[in-house]
Amino acid sequence: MSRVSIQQFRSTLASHSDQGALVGAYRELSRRSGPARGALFAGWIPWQDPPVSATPA
Amino acid sequence: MRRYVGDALRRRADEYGWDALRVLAGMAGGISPAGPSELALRACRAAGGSDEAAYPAAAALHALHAAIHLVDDIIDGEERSIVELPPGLRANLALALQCIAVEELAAAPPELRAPLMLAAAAAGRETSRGQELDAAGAADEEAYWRIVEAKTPPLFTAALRMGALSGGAAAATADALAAAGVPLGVLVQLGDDLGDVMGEALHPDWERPGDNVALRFALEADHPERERFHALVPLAADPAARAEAREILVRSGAFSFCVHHMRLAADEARRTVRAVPLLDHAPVLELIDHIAAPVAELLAEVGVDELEPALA
Repeated sequence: MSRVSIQQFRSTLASHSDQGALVGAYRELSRRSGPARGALFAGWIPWQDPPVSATPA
Repeated sequence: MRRYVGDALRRRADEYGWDALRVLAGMAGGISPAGPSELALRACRAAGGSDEAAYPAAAALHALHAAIHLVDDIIDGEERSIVELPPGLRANLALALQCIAVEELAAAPPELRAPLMLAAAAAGRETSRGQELDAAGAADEEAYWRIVEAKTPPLFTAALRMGALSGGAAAATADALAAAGVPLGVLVQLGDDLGDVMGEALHPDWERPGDNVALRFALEADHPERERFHALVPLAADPAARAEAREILVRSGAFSFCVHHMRLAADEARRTVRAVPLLDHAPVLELIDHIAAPVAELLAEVGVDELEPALA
């Protein structure tokens, strides 16, 4: 997989952007995602997920 | 009703009065939305098999996944421990879990036992090698990506392969589906990196910033607050310094960089799955969508065009 590197990505971003919108969106989604690790991606950490397809007996 | 994949651990915990194993069976949560057990079940369905047919593979992957987590936490020096045991005994428990994975696969149909065991063994071996590379640290960005591809995807690759084989897929079909495990593993690892630095708690990644792509970005990319970020990282144990560093990290574009690569990884995983001749692609595609959902939500919030100017 060819990837855009850190430097390439930054140079395209530099001419742009208000990253503040992203900060705001992140905070809002984190809040909705719950307290685990306080993070948007908390739901991705299997230890903290309830099983969705099976329930322990 | 489906059997619970964690019962493989619970049954043995009951048999031997093995408290640590019981704790692990309970806390592991069994089939999680992004876990390899669920992935195997879905790959089996996609190939036309029943959940029952996938059970040995799913139970084995559950045990293997738990083993990998235990060792990963030891290596990372994570203070939150899944089981209340010293590191040496957690490593010992991980060894038992790998053996349980093999035992569970003995319940598969005779013609599938060897290929399933080999797939599980490869996942454990490759993950172990990836962990060693990870522990040595990433000297540069290229090394970071090499480590990510070595460390996280093998379990996902194995889950897809084992699930497809359990569902009756030919070896070539299972291999083709397994290839989607690479971008899927990258997707999950990037989400982990992001979660580890954006969370409120102090994560060990702050002490090894070169091994977390978001931190690496803010340290290396050319942005106005780079010097300040360099000064803050060694002070990350202080919550105020960490909070300031997190804000800079987002402003630097590090967050966007992760999200961009996560989106690409999710797209590649979907493309790979769709190219495989399966009875029904939906079960696996649905899971990819689930894993990628936070990215999709974030993109929807801010608008893809704004996030990825010249890269879209």
